[in-house]
Amino acid sequence: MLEWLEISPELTLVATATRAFRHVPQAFGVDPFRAPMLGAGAPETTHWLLAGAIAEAGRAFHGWRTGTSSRTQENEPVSPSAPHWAYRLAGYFHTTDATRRLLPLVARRFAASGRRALASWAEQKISEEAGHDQLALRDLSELGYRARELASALVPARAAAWVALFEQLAQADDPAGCVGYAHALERLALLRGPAEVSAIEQGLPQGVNATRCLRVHSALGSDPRHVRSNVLATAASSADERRAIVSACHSAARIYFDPAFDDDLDLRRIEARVLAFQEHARPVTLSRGNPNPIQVTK
Amino acid sequence: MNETWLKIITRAWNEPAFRVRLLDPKQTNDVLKEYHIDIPDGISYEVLEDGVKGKHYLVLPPTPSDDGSLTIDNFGRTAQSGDPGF
Repeated sequence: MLEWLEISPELTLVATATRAFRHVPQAFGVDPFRAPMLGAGAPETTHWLLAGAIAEAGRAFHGWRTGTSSRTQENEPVSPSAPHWAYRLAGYFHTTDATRRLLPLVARRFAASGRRALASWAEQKISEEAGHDQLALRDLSELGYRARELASALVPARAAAWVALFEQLAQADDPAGCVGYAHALERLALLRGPAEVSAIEQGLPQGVNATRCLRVHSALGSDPRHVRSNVLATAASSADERRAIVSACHSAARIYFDPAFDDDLDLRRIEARVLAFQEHARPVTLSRGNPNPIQVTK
Repeated sequence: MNETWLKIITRAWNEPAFRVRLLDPKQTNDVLKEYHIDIPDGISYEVLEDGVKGKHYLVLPPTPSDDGSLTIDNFGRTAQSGDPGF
């Protein structure tokens, strides 16, 4: 059993039941992977094809990371300052709010085209994700910010790109790609575990619970189960639908890995923008990246 | 590339001399280069005619190496601020 997807004329992803790998199509003659994927899917191969699409996006921007070499200092969890975390929470708000806005449209479109299994997947997602758009706002409020105002004013570049992609997929002739978008975000969320949550909490004022949104969208939340349901929904889809799903998954993963969307590198500027929305006095430690860390009370 | 290959096939069917050159392993690369096909150093092509005397060829794609395997977890925290929240 094999599944595959042409990423470009020079690269095809191929998945077996135990791995995914890159295949460079032969320029001439017979190469079975030059033709679009045919036939039914299976959970094992679909799992690896989706995993391969995400990993290939990472490889494209950051090269190979294999075995123990992945545990570089670059990959160690970092503790953002509270204002920096607030900026990132604004990103969480925008992507989760897009889920609330767009999933009902996607469900209706699947149902209208008679695709009951995909409609059921979307309906299940609507139920599972209900209220999650409020989590980032609650975290922002907990940090002492005017949450709704801050989230309306600040749109991190990566979140904006994800929302734009989701809107495009939801309105496409075939919205099947939305499954791949959801899978990419939920699978990537699983890469955040207790170490990442702990690192972020260390940068926040003591006693402040502002990691509700992160915990839900991490390996500590319900995303492991959601990822499994995405794989099963994809595997049960037609070959054309699976190609659309895995392609969208790859596109969403590229946004995650693309350093062009790292718009929070200028922490001084980010923190200044965020602090304008502070509602009540709460001591804030600014980022370690600043030459002279200072306590600010507004 | 497929279009170029189709042109070569068509010409081989119509020009016996060209067909002979194409099928000659010592000349195949030169024929392909005449069609502006970039052939890296150390690579040689061989063209086999399918179906002659009832003999058909199946091409086994290269066996993937472990170096080409794709896994997610090693890329996990590369984007420190890429917060995926569906």
